[in-house]
Amino acid sequence: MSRVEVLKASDLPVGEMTKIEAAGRTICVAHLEEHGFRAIDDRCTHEDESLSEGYLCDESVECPMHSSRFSFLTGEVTGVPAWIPVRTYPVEVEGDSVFLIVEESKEASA
Amino acid sequence: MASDSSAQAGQCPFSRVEIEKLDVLQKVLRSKAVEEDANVSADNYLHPDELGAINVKAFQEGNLAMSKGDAHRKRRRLLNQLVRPEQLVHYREEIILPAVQRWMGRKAEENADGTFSIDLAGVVELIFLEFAAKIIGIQGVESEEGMARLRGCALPIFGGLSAAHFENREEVTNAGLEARKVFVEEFYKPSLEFAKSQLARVEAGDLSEDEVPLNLLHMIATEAVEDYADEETGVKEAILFFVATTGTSAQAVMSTVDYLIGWFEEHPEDRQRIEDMEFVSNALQETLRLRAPFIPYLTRLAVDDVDADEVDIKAGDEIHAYIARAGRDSNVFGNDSNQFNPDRAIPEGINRYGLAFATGPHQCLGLRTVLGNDGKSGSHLRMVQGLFRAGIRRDPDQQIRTLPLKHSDDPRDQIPTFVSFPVILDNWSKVA
Repeated sequence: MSRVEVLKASDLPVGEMTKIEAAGRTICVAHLEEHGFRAIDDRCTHEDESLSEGYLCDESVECPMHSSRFSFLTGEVTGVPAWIPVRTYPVEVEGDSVFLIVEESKEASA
Repeated sequence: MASDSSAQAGQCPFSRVEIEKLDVLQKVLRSKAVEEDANVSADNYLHPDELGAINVKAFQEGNLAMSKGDAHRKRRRLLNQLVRPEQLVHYREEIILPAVQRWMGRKAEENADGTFSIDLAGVVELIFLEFAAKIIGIQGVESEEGMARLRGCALPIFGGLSAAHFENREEVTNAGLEARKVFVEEFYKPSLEFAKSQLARVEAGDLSEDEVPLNLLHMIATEAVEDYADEETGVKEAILFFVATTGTSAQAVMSTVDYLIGWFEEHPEDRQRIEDMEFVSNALQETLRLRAPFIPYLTRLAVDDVDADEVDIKAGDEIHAYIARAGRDSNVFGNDSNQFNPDRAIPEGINRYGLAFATGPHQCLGLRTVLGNDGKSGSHLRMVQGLFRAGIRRDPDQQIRTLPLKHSDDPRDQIPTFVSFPVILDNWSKVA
C-alpha cells in the first residue's frame, strides 16, 4: 500500500470532482460539502464510463452515460442500472495536500 | 446458438450468428467489437432488398440507436439529461399519472352493475403517447382530435421501425411510411418551429429558461450535437423516441397486467402484495425478462472478431441477439424459466429483467423511467399498481387481439404485441 499525494485541496472546491491517476489506477476524487474529500474508482461498474465526467449528487456520483449512481461514502450502488459497487479509497488531508492510500495496480482500473 | 451462412458460397463471406445464451449475449453486447447497424437492423445486410433499403432510410439510419463511437457517446450524454432523477419525478407526477386519470376517464364505459369496461391497449397507448409528445416536445395533442391523429401514426410507425419482424412486411412498411408523412408534416415540423420560437423568446428575454421545458426538440432546434444539423437525423431521432416511449411501454404494462392477472388467479393470497412496490417491480421485471423487447431479437454487426467463448463471431458477421430467449435461459433462471414468477430467486450479477433493456453502450435510455431511480418507484410500476387497485380483470365477453408475428419454430419467439386488451375495472370511478 502506498500513500500518494494526488492533488491540492485548494484546487478542488466543494461540490466538484476530478479524475486522477495514482499507483496505476484511475480514481475519481470529490470534495463533498459534509464529508470532505472522498475517492472511488473512476470506472463505472455498469459500463466502461468515467464517473468523474458525470454529476455529483449530494454524496453520490451519477454516471453520465446510463445514470448509475454510487456513494462516495461506501461505494455502494445508489441508483440503477449498476449493481456492482465501486471500490473506495481512504483519503487523508494534511494542510493543502490530499493523499490517497492505494495499492499498486498492475493495470489501470479505468 | 447457431451460425448460419446465409449467402451462397463465393459471394458473401459473412454469416448470421444467432445467440440465445444469456452469459454469451451479455458479453457480446458489451463488446466494443460489436455495433448497431441500420442495415442489419432492417434485415438489409446479408440479403439487401428494396424494402430493407426503404426501412433503413426512412426509419433507422442516423438515430441514437444506430449511432456509433464518439458520436453515440456525445448524443447519449446529451439525451441522458432527459432521464435524470428530477426529470423522472416530473414525468411521473406531472405527466404520466395525471394522463392515466384523464384518459381512463374519457375512455372507460360504465356498465349496468357499476363496473367499467375499457380497452387497455387503447388507453395505455394514449397515456404513453401523451408522455412521448411531452418528452419530444410535440405540440397539438391537447385536443382529442390532435391526439387521435397522433395515435393513428403510433402503431404503423412502430411497425415501420420493426418491419423486419412482421408478416406482410410490405404492407407494414407502406403503412409505416404513410404514418411517417403524417407525423413529420402535421406534428414534427410545426413542433420544431414552435421550439425554435420559444428559444428565440428566451433569447429576447420574453420567456425565462424555467418556463421552457427540457425536451428533444429543443435539443434538435439548438443543434446541441452536430448530428442534429441534418433534418432527417432529427426526424428519425423523434421517431425513435416516439416508438420507444409508446410501443414498448404500452406492451410492458399490458404484458405485466396479463401475467399478474394469471398469477393472482393461481395465488389469490398474493393479491394484497400489489401494495408492495418491490413486488410490483419484480413482476414487471419478470415480464420484461420473458417478453421484452417485444420483438424476437435485436441485431448487431461485428466490426471485429469477437471473443465470445463458444461462439465464433468474425468481423462482418450479423448478430441476432435473442433477448427473450436469453431471458429464459434455464442455466441462469432455472428449469421453470419459461414461467412467470415474480418471486424468482435471481443469481448474483444478473438483472431480474434479463437483457430486456439490452446492455452495453446502447442500453435502453428509458430504463429508469420504467423502474425509477431506486428500481421501484417508476411510472410504469405505479400504473400497474393503480390498475390492480382499480380491480382490473379480463373482459370475459371480448377477445384479446395481437399482431401476427413472422413465423418461428421456436415458441419463445411468439411474443404478443397487443392491439386490443379489453378489461373490466371492478373498483374504479371517474374523477369528477
